[in-house]
Amino acid sequence: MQSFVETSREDLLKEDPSKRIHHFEEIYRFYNDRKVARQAERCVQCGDPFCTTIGCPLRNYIPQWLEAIAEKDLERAFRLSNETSPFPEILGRVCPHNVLCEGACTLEDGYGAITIGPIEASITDLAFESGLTLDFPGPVTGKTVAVIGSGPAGISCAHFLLRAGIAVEMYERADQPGGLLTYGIPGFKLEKQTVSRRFSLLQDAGMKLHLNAEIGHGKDLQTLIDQYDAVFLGLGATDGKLPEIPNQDLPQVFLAMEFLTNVQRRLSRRSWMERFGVLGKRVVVIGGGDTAMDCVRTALREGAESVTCLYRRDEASMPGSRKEYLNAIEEGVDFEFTESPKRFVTNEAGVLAGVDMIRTKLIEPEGGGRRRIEEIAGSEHCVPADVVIMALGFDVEGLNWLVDYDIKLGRWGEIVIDPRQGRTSHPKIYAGGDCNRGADLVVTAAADGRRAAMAMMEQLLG
Amino acid sequence: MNIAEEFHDACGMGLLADLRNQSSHQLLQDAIRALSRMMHRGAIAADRKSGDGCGVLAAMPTSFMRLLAEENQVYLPDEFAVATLFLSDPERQQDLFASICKETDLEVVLFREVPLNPEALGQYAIDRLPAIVQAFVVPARLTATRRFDALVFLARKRVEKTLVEEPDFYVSTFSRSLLAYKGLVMPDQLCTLFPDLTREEFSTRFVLFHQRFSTNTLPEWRLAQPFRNLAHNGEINSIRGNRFNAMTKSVTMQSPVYSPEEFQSLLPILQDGVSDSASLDNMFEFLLANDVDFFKAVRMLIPPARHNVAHMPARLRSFYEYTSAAFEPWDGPAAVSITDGRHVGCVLDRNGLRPGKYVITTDDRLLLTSEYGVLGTPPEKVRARGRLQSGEMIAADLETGQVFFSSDIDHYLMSSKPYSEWLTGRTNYLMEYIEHQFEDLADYQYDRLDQAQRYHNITHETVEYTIKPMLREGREPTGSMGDDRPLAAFSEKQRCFTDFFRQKFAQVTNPPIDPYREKVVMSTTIGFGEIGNPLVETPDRSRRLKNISPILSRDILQALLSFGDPDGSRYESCYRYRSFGTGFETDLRASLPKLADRVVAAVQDEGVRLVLLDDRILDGKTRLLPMPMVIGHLNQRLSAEKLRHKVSLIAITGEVVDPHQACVLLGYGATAIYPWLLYATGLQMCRNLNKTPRETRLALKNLYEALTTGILKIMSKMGISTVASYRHAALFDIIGLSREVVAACFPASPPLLPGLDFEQLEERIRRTHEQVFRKSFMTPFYPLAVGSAGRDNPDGDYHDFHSRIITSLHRFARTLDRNDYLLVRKMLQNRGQCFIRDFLTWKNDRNRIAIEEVEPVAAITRRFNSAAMSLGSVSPEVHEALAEAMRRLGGASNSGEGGESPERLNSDLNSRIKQVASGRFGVTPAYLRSAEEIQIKVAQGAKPGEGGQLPGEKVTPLIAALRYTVEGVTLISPPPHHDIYSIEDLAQLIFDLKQINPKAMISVKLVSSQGVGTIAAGVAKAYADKIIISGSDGGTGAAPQTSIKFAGNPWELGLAEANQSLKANGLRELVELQTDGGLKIGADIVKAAILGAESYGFGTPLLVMLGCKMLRVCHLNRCTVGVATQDPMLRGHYVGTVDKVVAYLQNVAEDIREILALLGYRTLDEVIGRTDLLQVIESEAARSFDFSRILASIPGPNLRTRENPPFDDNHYEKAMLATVRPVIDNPREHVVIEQEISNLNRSVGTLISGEIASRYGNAGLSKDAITLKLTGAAGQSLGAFLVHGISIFLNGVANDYVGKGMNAGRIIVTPRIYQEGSAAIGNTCLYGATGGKLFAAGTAGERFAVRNSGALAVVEGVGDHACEYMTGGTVVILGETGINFGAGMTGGAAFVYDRSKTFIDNLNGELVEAHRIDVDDDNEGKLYLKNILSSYLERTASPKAKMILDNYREELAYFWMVTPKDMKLPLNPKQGD
Ligand SMILES: Cc1cc2nc3c(=O)[nH]c(=O)nc-3n(C[C@H](O)[C@H](O)[C@H](O)COP(=O)(O)OP(=O)(O)OC[C@H]3O[C@@H](n4cnc5c(N)ncnc54)[C@H](O)[C@@H]3O)c2cc1C
Ligand SMILES: Cc1cc2nc3c(=O)[nH]c(=O)nc-3n(C[C@H](O)[C@H](O)[C@H](O)COP(=O)(O)O)c2cc1C
Ligand code: SF4
Ligand code: SF4
Ligand code: F3S
Repeated sequence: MQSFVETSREDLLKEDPSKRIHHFEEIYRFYNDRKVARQAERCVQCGDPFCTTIGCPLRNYIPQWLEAIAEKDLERAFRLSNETSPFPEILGRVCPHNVLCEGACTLEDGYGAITIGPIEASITDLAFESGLTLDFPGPVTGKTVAVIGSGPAGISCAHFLLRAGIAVEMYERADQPGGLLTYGIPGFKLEKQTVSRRFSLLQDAGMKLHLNAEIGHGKDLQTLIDQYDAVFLGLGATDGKLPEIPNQDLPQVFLAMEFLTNVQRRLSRRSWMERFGVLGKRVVVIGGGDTAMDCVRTALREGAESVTCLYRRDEASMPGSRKEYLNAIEEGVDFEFTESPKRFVTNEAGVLAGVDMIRTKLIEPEGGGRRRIEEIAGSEHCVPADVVIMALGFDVEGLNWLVDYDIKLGRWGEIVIDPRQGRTSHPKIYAGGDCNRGADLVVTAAADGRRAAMAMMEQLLG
Repeated sequence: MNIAEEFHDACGMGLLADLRNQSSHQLLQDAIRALSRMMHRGAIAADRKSGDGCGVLAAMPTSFMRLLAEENQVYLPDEFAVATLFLSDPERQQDLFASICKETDLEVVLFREVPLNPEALGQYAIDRLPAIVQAFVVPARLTATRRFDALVFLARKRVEKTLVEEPDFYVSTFSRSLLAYKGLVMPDQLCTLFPDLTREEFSTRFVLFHQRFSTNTLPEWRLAQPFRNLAHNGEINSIRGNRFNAMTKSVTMQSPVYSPEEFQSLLPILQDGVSDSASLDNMFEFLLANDVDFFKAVRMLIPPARHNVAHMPARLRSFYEYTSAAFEPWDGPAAVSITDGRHVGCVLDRNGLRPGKYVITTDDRLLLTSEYGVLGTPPEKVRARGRLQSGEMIAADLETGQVFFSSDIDHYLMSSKPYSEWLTGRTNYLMEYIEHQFEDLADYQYDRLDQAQRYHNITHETVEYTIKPMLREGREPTGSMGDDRPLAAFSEKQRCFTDFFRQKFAQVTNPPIDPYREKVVMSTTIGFGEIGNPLVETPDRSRRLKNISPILSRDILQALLSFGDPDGSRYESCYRYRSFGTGFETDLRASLPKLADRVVAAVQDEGVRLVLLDDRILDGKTRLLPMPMVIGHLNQRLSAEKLRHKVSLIAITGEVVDPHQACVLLGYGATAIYPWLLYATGLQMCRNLNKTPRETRLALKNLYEALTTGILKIMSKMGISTVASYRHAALFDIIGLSREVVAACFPASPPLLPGLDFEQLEERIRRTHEQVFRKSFMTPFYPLAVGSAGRDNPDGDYHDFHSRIITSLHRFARTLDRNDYLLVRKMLQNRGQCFIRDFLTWKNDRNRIAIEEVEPVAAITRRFNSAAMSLGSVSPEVHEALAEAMRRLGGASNSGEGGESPERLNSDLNSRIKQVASGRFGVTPAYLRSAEEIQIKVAQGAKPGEGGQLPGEKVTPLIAALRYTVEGVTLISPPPHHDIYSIEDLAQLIFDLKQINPKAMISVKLVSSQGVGTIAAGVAKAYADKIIISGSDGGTGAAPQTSIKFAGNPWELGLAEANQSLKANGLRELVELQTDGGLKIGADIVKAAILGAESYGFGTPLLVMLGCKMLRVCHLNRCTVGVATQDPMLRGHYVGTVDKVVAYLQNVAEDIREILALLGYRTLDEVIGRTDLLQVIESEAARSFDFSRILASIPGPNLRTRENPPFDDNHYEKAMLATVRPVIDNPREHVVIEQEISNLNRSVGTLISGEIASRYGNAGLSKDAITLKLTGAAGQSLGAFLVHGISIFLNGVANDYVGKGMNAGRIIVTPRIYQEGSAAIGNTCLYGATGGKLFAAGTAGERFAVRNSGALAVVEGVGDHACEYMTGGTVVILGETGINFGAGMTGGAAFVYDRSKTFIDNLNGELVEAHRIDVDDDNEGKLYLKNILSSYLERTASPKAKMILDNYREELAYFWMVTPKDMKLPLNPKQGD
């Protein structure tokens, strides 16, 4: 180990932009066994492994599996990595590493952090390829838990319950499982087989999956509560935000999720709607986060004539993962910063023709904290567009119906849970993920699911 | 615990005998003179008059005694004995003595009050002066002489037993042939005290004499030596084990001399409440009284090394092997003068750790002493002069006038009985009964192994970082930085039971051993079988089964059991075995005795002899009794039932994975260990790494090797060299177990911080068991927990330097804003109860005051030191930053071991504290002279009792230059200081240092451990000015992981004990107390102050301020932040600044001011030692522990207020200095001083060197500026730290440490009368020398040129371990060498003239190789050697040198040149001029 002195950090190879924008496959080429070992070997094996103690929400055994894979002990690495994480190969792809594990890595200052994410993904990929498996005990305890929502939170919860021999029934309102892993995060970031592989794994382990089964409207939560030993809510938060500005209900103005979901539906050969097509159109995306990046890059792949991204703040204050922003630029997206939308402009036919924007400047507030936005009077101008996609973040969807089952909701309508066990105000019901945090991350959702599962084991088996 | 165990002895001792067996008064007088001439080796008590006691043991002055009898109108028959009694209540005690004599067929004819002159005594001694009475005793009826002797001994034992309750009653001697005069008096006052001694009629044939140096200042009359048969200079490390064994053995004894009931009244063999030396005396006289041969008795108790020694005669080996069955060594440094009335002799321990020097005069006298020259015997009267080597014995039979040297004695021993025949067929090595070990793997496979592993706390860490290195390299792994976890007793997480045990280690009073370089003296051999009757030599006693290690493989175990199986062909009843499961379901307390009952029954009723304790019965219902408890408890129980000697305890356990765990079991009585889980885990790993069968076999063998060498290592820390002596020695401190638990299982160890009782332990066991069997709900993908012993892993144990602390400290380092510091402080204050100090809180006795009234920050930071961190372990940047920061704060930085570049010495970057460690790297006159404090590092918290290694990778050109070594070559520092084997040695080193730099404070760094208090007292008496009590959790640059985790105690315990002991001994005001180890915030400091510390050391926190992130790869030279590395690239990433350190410590000081204000005190001084200002917090946890011992307060001063100048003011050299001063002032001048010298004049040349160095640095003066021409016997440390410009010509003989640390100049020693091979200089000469030249026309002692890194030397013979750890310089030896030559030698060259062709056997070839130089291609070598020899001849006129040079071509063929392997250093012919 400690070979960081001679070996330097090598990121994953990417497919050439001109080629990759023509399809939705992953743009990265993951490490082979030799490369993964060489990169893992760089690890210092810190006495205080910041990568996990500070960086990783799941507290993965990072130095341990790095050492294992560096010693070419794939099985040990695979087992160590899957011990704490419900789907390392997914998280290794979709986590914003630079702000999590890799951001915390000791080597980040001055040497180049260990490429933790890619190594993590590679380990489990290689392991599955080489035929290694994860053994589940089967539903030996006679206990059963209902998991509502098949997103990361739900998957994670189910995964750990199954490992404890607790049977799981998962209810998903959509026609495909995976939550935002499936309908949100585009394929060029996360290939969908990766997600489905996990589901078949869980189903082999004894999980029953009910699709098109919306709880609340379709099935009554109470019956679940009575029927099962416990219930987990991983309902997510996908209610798109809209700026309150004129003409926003034009048909050419989409919400990010509508657009992404539709594309994903088409790609997975499901019913989809013509009106979301952007082929040969001038697309403007408003917003600067990960979702916005996914939208612009999806639009490009959908054959848009031009794609422009407008953001209220400057480049430095973009909230999302820098990596994705750079990918977007490589792929030919135009970025306009410090631009704030005022109104959608229509042509005489009443069809969207563009957006009136106003320039902004950022003011340092006295007390410190995030800079205030101030519009520069008289700087209005119009940006032409055939389609505008709004990627301004998400709210938790109306969960008020839960109140009837004495589940407390918080200020923004999110589900309130106690931080140690992830239990709601209802003794049998647990929750986690975006429906508790508001739009956040896959890895935190996974952590929440795990926490709830552990608490349930204690409650049901302890 | 036994107060007598709470001090350590050392001293000067010797004997003087008339080989013609003629009595004279002169002999007595000479003996007493010799004793007085070694006063500097003893101690002078606080009143500077009493001393710790001295005395003489003389052959019975028969005529004088008759005279005395006559004077009292008493007639004495031919046979009479005299008892010297110390009485507290004379009438009663005399009557009782008389009546018991009567019962024993003896009659007291006279009680004579011994005349005393109290003027000789100090007040302390007078206050305790007993009535001293001599009882003249004769046989009541006609008795044979031997029976008379027997009765005398019997009577004494009876008296002692009857009066056992009266400690002030003491029989100093009671014998027909020996008589002692001793007391609490200085040698020069002995005759004044006892006018008897001055009476001409008092004539005797031989005298043993002794002066004591004890660590405590409350000496007792009865503890003065000599004892009844011997005088002992040394320390018995294995004493607890020996006492235990003495007790168990006595059960089996049948005396050929005494009737059974008589014999009973001789027991116990060893008296209670006496020193280790006294116990040895008890044992020895007991053997003699029971008709054991004099020589055998001596060699049984103090045998030489044998197991790894080449060329020991087989029959001699047999003798020792035979006796070893019944008698384990009384192990430890020892020089013992010994007599039975007819023979006198002296023996050294196997490691030669005490000096023993003899002279035989032309008028047939044998003089044996610690030093040469004590009688100033004129050279023409010397017939032979020499010294005892390791394990050697010399003796004389005064009836025949014969002198026996070691070889004679050996010859006598081996031919006295057919030991070899006896052994063949009876003693068998288990190895002989197996083909291949580790071939049959059946026994290493278990299903659900993971459960056992998790139950026994085998984690991913254990597997990867402990077992894997053992598996691969066969040794335990290295780590760095301290153990910052909570004490096991305080931890919330699962911990191994052995974590409660902290290894003891040798410091000051005895040296640790280097188990690698000095393997020759070590042995791990164990034996099974009964002892038989130790008093009579019979063939049957040799019925033993042996194994070369206490660690068994399955194959060895099977072999062993095959002897114990009644149906087996090899069956012998003395090996009958039975296995016992060590499980329980509930009630730990009751389960132990239950198990014991079953074992006892089996031993009594079924004759079981091998008791197997097997814990492989763990399951969902069954929990396990901790194996150490099982062993410890059975040990007690079996000896209580008088069965212990019959059985061997064998642990078949999953609890042993590392050497520490193994040693705990051995230490409390296990004979052997079969670590099944370790093997099973190893096998599992091999399978995972799909190793071939062969690889697997080797891997498992490595595990076994690693454990065995690990055990050696741990024993050696305590200076113990054989497992036989280590067993039962209970060399651990137990922290946090209740008194009841300790009493039930580990009574030999003191319970520190009494705490967890059976219930609480059971609860912990229950929790673990539940975790493993009930609460592990998920099928694991990876079966083990990650563990957190070393690394701060998620959900692991608490680490005081956990990630958030680090990042927060780093934020503070960026902002330097107190608020950021306060965040860190808050985190630390809220860490819960992890360390002892967390249980202590303030107890106000005043109202708070305004903070303005408290002394300023600067007044507080003055008390801060940066802890010793050597340049080498840390980067130059760090080392300099610390120096500058501490200077700015008015505190002091510490160089650590490893030198400092000359240009720094008188700049702002100079470290005020200079460390002198065992490696003596870079310790030059200028270095020492540049110090305001010189710190002798006796031990370091993270690795007490161990040396160090600086990996070659870290030895850059700079480091190499500073340390006078070679770039890229790994540097070894030995475990002990080779000039500190005892307190009197330490006193000598302190004396040396006070000469080289009279202005500097001398400090001694100790590590917290039970008993450190008494050691501190001894150190104070050795004239130290400051004592550092270092905590076990302190950092380190590199150390074995088990040491980091398991050796030494937290500072709180040691500091409190040291402070209390110093006060109790009235020494506190002489020394400053400092502590370090885990100090971080103001609260830590104030608590330390209240427990007695006046100043405070910081190590790791400062490194963190300079960028350290607790990567813990210091030892790999990979520190990414450039702190603990020499790699220029990495150092490029260094972010430290002086301001960061300064700001941190100022903030700590600010805390202190706040706390002082809160307590209502203005200065730290006011609270130091005020334990009444602390109280134990209110908490569940706190209630389980007893902190009273820590908070105990003893009246007396709490601060250092006085100087502590040596007794010897060295006027001798002061006078010389005056004479040479003009030359120092005006370097162009020259001066020659001619004068006499005696052994009382020590460290000659050092004072002047210091003076010169302070003016001119190491450059010194011109070559011949100062010449000292001395004649006589020079005292110790002649020419220590000699500087350029001084030449010492000694015509005569010199003692130990000649040229120690010399940097330049010359020392030339020539005998007044040349005798080939006779001794010229003593032990450990040239230790740590960095240059200069030493010629001695005679032989040198042990460890010649140890750690020499630059001196050129020629001598005509050396003892054992010559050139050990040498890294530079050239040594020429024109004669015999002892064993283990060149061990650990990594540089320099040695030429050895080997006419007797024995050298190669003595060479330790691990690192060096010997080649011939008569070959053509080595002209360089030839020429170089010739130059050296010619200049040697010119200086010494040595006939031997002349002979060699005259026939150089031929003689060259007898020379070996020894150099480190694959590195022949360029030789520099210029040195030869
Ligand atoms: C476009 C986009 C890109 C993103 N990219 C990343 C990224 O690169 N990295 C990252 O870490 N995070 C990313 N995120 C965020 C991340 O996807 C979410 O934080 C995460 O998926 C939250 O998981 P969850 O299980 O809490 O909710 P979801 O993933 O939203 O899953 C909730 C599921 O519950 C179902 N459901 C809801 N109500 C009911 C009901 N009543 N009955 C039955 N089923 C119900 C929903 O249909 C859905 O399938 C992205 C988000 C978006 C929108
Ligand atoms: C990197 C490093 C090197 C050290 N080197 C030495 C040394 O050469 N001599 C010594 O006596 N102690 C040495 N120590 C131990 C310190 O002097 C000190 O006793 C200990 O670090 C104090 O505990 P703390 O680190 O918790 O403050 C070293 C410690 C560290 C961290
Ligand atoms: S889960 Fe995310 S944060 Fe944790 S290690 Fe994997 S990539 Fe890093
Ligand atoms: S922080 Fe970086 S270097 Fe350190 S252990 Fe984690 S991954 Fe390895
Ligand atoms: S622990 Fe050692 S390796 Fe560097 S970061 Fe700290 S000094």
